[in-house]
Amino acid sequence: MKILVALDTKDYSRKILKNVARLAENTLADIIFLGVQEGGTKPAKSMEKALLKYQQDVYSHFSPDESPYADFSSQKWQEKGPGDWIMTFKGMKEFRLRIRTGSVAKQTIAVAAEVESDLIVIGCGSKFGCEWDGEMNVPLRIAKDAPCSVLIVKHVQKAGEIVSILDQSVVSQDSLEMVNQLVTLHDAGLKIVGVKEKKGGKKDKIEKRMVDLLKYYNDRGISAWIKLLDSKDVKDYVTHSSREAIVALWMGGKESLVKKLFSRSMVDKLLETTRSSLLILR
Amino acid sequence: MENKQTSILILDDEPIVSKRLKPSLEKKGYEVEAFTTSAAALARVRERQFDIVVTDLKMEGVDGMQFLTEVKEKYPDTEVIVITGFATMATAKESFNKGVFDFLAKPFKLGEIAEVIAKAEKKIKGTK
Repeated sequence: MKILVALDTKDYSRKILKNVARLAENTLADIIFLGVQEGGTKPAKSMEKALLKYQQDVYSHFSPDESPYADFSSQKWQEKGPGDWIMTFKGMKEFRLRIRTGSVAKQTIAVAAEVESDLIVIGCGSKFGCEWDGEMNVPLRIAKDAPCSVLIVKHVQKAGEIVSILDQSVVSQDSLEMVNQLVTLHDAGLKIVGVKEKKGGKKDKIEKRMVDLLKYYNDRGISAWIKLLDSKDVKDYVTHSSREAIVALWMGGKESLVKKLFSRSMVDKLLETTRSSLLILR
Repeated sequence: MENKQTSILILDDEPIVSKRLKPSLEKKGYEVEAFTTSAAALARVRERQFDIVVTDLKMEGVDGMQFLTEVKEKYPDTEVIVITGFATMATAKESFNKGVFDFLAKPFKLGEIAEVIAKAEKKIKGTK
């Protein structure tokens, strides 16, 4: 697994490091810490200092003989291209620091595509909703356009439940696996909520999907609950659930009913109200 | 050993995993056998040795940990790569204590596992 973590020098970025460290400890993932600065011909001292400190914080979760990452040692930035610097620590798993210039959302999406990350993790402030350095739409833009799943951590807390919202469209294997990792990481209960359209004959299809998923989890010793909801009820249900649980929304295929229901403004609203984290699955 | 095709056994109870992995690895020149039940995979490793074994952990019946334990006991020089959708620190530690070559949490891209397999192959060829 490859995890891209978008970070800046603010408190909300520092706060997600514990989550990132736990993810790294459990999954032994390759990690990329990305900082984006407005411009400049070399990495800004403040960004460089923050990323190195964040890396140290994650390393401190591992005992020296158990860390999958290369020793924290003095490395130099390599210029990868104009406004693009990288520092690589190669151990059994790879840890990279990367600084780029430009817009945070655009650069995060570009790096995720370039390195083929499986997950983007990003924090956000909660003063006004879910803001990044005073801007309201950065986490939302990343969630909307990323080529992979995105975990937006608003409040760092251990989630007791993962609520996964699915519809009749094909759910990717990667999405299921991402949900499984979060359930394992949080030792959380799993609730799978199927969304059926108000009218039409998709009920059988979604019901079959739910039964298949239940069997999938039962076979693996994971306790999962399933629930079928009418599309008209799902927004209220999700808004309510997102207060305590991590909500995972499948926003994949073109035919996704969940994608249609959870328009940009609705996801924005969820980000405002959640007291936990939101996982956008692809 | 230099000219011998590297043999790989894949064990994952989700057929989609082998369906993705097998053709991709065969295209790279590996000899691949895929199994979706640990019983069938165990029967096969009792018949012959594989250079590399890629196994899931959480499965019905004999789980991946028991499977890899038997593989490493029978063939200590077979390199085992664990792939799991339910990764924990404890299972990673236990796997490494049993001598696995690498531990990959799902999801992963084909390129990522291909890279790990290439490293395992390099190790095998370097030690024989």
